[in-house]
Order: sequence, then C-alpha cells, then structure tokens
Amino acid sequence: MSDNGHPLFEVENLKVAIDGNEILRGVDLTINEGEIHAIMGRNGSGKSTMANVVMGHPAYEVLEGSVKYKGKDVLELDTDERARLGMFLAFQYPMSIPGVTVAKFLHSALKARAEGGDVPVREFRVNLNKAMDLLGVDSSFASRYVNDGFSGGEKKRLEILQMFVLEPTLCILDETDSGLDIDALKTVAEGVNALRSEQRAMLLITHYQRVLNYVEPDVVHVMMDGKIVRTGGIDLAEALEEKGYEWIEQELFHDTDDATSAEAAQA
Amino acid sequence: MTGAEAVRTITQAGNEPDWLGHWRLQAWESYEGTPLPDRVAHLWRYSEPQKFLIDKVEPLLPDGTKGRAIDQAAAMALSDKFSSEATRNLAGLLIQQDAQAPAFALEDEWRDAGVILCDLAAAVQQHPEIVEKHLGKQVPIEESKFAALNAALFSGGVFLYVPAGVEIGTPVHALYQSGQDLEAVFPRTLVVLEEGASAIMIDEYGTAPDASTNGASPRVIAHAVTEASVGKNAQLQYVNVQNWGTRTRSHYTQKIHLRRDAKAVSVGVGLGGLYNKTDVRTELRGDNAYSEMIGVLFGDASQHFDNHTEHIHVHGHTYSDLDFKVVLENSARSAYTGLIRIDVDAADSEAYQENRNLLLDKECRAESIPELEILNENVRCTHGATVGPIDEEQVFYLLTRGLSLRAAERIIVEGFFATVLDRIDDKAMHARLWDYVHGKLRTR
Repeated sequence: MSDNGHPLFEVENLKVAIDGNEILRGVDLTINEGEIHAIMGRNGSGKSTMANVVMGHPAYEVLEGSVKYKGKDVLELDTDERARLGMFLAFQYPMSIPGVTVAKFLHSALKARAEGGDVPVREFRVNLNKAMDLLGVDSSFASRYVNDGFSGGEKKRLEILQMFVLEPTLCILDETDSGLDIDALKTVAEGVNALRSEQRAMLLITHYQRVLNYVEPDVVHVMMDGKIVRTGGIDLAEALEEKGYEWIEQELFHDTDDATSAEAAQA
Repeated sequence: MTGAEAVRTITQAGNEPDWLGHWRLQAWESYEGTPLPDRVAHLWRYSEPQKFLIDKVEPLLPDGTKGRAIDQAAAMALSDKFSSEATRNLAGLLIQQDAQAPAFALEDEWRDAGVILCDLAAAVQQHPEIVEKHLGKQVPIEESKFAALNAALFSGGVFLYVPAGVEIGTPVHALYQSGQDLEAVFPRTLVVLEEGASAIMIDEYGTAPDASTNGASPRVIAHAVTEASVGKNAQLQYVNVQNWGTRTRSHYTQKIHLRRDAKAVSVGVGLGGLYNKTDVRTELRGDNAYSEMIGVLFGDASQHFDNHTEHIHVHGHTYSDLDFKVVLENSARSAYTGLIRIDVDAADSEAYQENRNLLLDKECRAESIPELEILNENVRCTHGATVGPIDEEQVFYLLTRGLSLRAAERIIVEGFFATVLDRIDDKAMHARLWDYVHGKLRTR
C-alpha cells in the first residue's frame, strides 16, 4: 500500500437508500492520490450503488455521511459539476445515445470541461486517434453512434477510451471487467495500467478476482450488505478467489458471535 | 370579391390558356360544392377543417396591388442565409415573395441540358404541353375539398422539369415567402422527372414579416400542394420544409408517383406554423419502385401538427421505408397516422414504418397510429411507434461526462434527429437540413 499520496477521495459513514430500502449502511473509504483500490463483493452487496451515488444518480437518497473529493463535499454538487472537477464513472451498462457519434460525444464532453473555451477540432481528432490506437480500437469507432449496437466488449472499450480523452483524476470503474472475453479484458486492463499515474486514483468495482491478475491494486476491500467488511492487499483478493465469499461470511458470523458472547459476558 | 371572380382575375393576370381557366373554375365549384370533411372520417379526427376556410381572409392575387415587388438584392440576401461552404453548391435557386414573378437562376449546364426551373405561371406560357400533361394529375380536384381550393387559386408556383437521362447532382432550392396579414396563399409545386432523370429539390415555405402587424407574424392561411411524377428508373429527392410564421395555419397535400425502377426519397420538415395539417402520399406504381419517407418535426409553444403519410404499393417487388421523428416541447401537439397499403398485385414487396416521438415537457402530447392494409400475404411489413420523454439514464450518462443538463438534452435531441437526417446521402442537402433544425434548437 502506497501511503505517500494525499487523500483524494474520502467517503465517511455513507448511508444510502433507494425506494426507501437502505442499500449502503455506513461505508468508510479513503483513496489517496496515485492509488488503485478494488472493491469486491457479490451482486447486491451495494457496489454499484456506491458508484452511482458518488456521481449523483437521482434515484438514490443519501441518508447520512459524506463524500469528499479533493477535500470538497461533492454531495452538494450536481453530477456534471462533479464530472468537470475530474470524477469519472465507467458504467457497468453504458447507455446508447442514438444519432450522436463517439467523436461528437467526446468533443462535447471536452468542450463542457473547457468552460466556454474552445477545443480545436483538429487537435481533438489527433488526440482521439492517438487514444484509439493505444486501445487498439478501429478508427471507424469515432463515427459510430455512442454504444448503439455495440458489443459488450466495445462498450467497455469505449468507457476506457473516454478516460483517455477526458483524463479524469478519479476513475471509478463499475464492473468494467464483467462479461468480457480474455482479449477484451486485457485491453481494458492495459488501458487502466496506462492511465495509472501519481496524481490519478482509481476504484475498480468488481465481482471477480480475474481482472486483478492484470491490474494490481494497492488496496482491496470487500463489501457485504452495504458495508466494507474487510480491507487488505492483493492477498485478500487471492484468498477470496480461493475460498469464496462464504469464508468471509463465516468469519463475520464468528465476529458477531464473539461480540454477542462478549456482550453476554459483560452483562 | 367572390371566389369565382378571384379565379378569373388570376386567369386573366396570367393570360392563362382556356383549359387552365376551365380547370380552375371547375375546382372552385368543387371546393364550394364539397361539404366540410366529417370529423369522424379518419383523416380529420385530429384537426378542425373550419380552421382552413378562407372566408375571413383575402386570397392572394397576382394583380400587382397586394404583392410587394421582389427585389433581386433581397432575393440574393435570402439565399445567403445558408452561407456555410457545404451549402453553397446549388444547381438552381428560385425565390418567390407573394405571387409576384419570382427571382430564379439555373446553372447554365442544366439549362443547356433541357432542365426547366421557373414559376408555374411562366411554365404555363412557355411549356404549356408539359404543364397540361402533368398539372393536377397526381393531386386532382377530386383529391379533397382543400386540394380543389389550391387548384382554383394557386398563383406563382414552382415548376421543375428534368428531361430523360439528365441527372442533376446538386440541389435545386425553391423558397416561397409569403403572407400579408389576413391573407390566404396557395403555393403549388409541380416536379416532372422523365425516364432515367434525377434531381434533388428543396421546397421551403416561410412567412415574411408584414409591416402592418407591428412585428407580430402575419395571420395567414396556406393551402399548399406538391405533385411529382417520377419516370422509369428516375430518382427524386424532394425535401419540403414547412417553416411558416407563428400565426399561419397550413394545409399541405403532397403526392409522388413512382414508375418502374423509380426511386424517391421524400423528406418532410415541420418547424413553423400554428395549426398544421399535412397529407403526404407516395404511390409505387411500377415493379421495383423504391420509396423512403423521412419526417422531421419539431414543435413548440402551442403548435398543432397533424401528419398523415401513405405508402401505396400497387406493383410487386416494391420497397418502402418510413422514418418519422417528432420532438415536442412546451404545449405542442402532434398526431401522426401512417398508412401502408399493399395491393393484391404487389407480391414480394417490403414496407417498413417507424414513428418515434420525444416529449421534452410535461404539457406536450403526441399520438401515433399505424394503419396497415395488406391485401397480399407474400410481403414483409413492420411498424413501430414510441411516445415518451427523454430517457433519464441517457441524461445521467451525459451528465457524468460533464455536459450540463441543457447540453445533454440538446445533444440527445440532435441525435434523435440525426438518426433520420443521416440517411440523406447528399452532403449539401444534409447540411441544409441541419441548418433548419439548428435554427429551431437555438431558440430553446
């Protein structure tokens, strides 16, 4: 774990509900500049809720807690303001925008970041082509409609391409590895590794340990029932791969057991 | 002045031949003798026919007293409103204000090849045999009460004739600007493409400001007709842009007749007007005829749009595809009804129809009703319709990329229209259509 960076992203006691059901039940998480963290957990553990609420998805209600990015409370900000400050979410299920080409979409996003300033088309095209080359994406990609008729792998590649072009400081990748064949997974991982830098932090949300064979995280967290229940290094992911989530469940059960017996002893 | 007198005035002013004078009078009688359409009859379920009556307004007459003389410099300035490089390249231009003699120009290359571009009044004088052969053949007096009204009182008008084998690669643009307050106007376009010919035409209706209304858009009733005859193996791209002022009521009838191996792409752009009804029909009357109909409609304020389309497959191995996109905001209303008819002899035909409606505000309403009459079972036919607001997940996706809510909605609307406009191959035409849509988007 590298601990020389400053905290970039701090989540404190975050409690979140959707339709009145509490999904996150007190999440604490700090990511320093330059670090890559992974959050692992089963479906329904609250991982995707975490990703969406951090970006301000309107369906979620924050009950308690805070989310800070560069020391600023982002829960007060609109989604687009968060994005313009450098936060980015790679979607698990990226939306298609029929009629809007990838090039136009990215150019619009850059223009939005330029705060009224201009983004010269020529320069943009050069950068886009460079990024597409790096990711091994065909040049026809730029003139296709955003995610419209894209395969699963193409959608995830486009999410990574956006990270290259928009250069966010905090990248949250929500199950970007799921549903990919090994080649697509490698491309995604190479992209993530290429973007790794001292200033940038990343949060990989994943179901499987597989992607961590290609991207080495500094910190691994396990989420269960809306809480982070274990935090460790890559060995934690490896243990999960070997023993499955039941192993942690059992440990937790024993913890609770111990606590209960401790309480009983005190009484 | 009675209607019959108005007809006689037009006939005399244009020094029109007897057949035309007779036809106009017969049309006027038909108009007067035909009762208002029954609201239960399906074509008038969504609009009130009384709104299109002209008894409280003056018909526009080419008598030199009502119209403003057209100024060549003003005409050129109008053409300059499309000034981007991509849109400069035109084969011909015709600009008409009121019913006065229009300003028009046609590239020498096409004039030498026998192409005719002029107002209908001039065509009646100079090419009577072609006009007599085609005028009123696709949209006859019997078509409807209001089609008869246009036949009786049309003035000015646009005539495009392309002889056999001549292929015009760049667009011909006709711009009709009209309307003094409390006036009825009757634009009419006649397009004839002989065998193997091809043409791209943009026909735009607009309303010029009227000094008498202190800046408010003049109150105008417009009855417009377009008829096009597309010969064997000929290709027509016809774009009708309805950009009337905010207090115009417009009724528009369009019919395209396709012969064997002919192809038509008909694009309807609905932007202006207060109360609009449009009936557009393409008839596939020859083997292998091919028709695309594209609709782009963008309504705001309290605009009313009633659009009906028909694809009539008369012969076999014919293909039709309709894609009609509607965006509404404020309290605008749209009703779309689309008929596909496949006649008993039209085996092995294909017909597709899609109508999508995007509602940007809570108060706007859209209806979509497909109508299928399939009399031959050996065909492929699909239709689909959706009505709804912008997808919130799409908006969220764009917001997470830093676009403001406004920018996100705008890019979604642009994309929505792009899925139809991108079907237009011709670059100049494509750019011009975007000019229209962007013009309206800017007001949002």
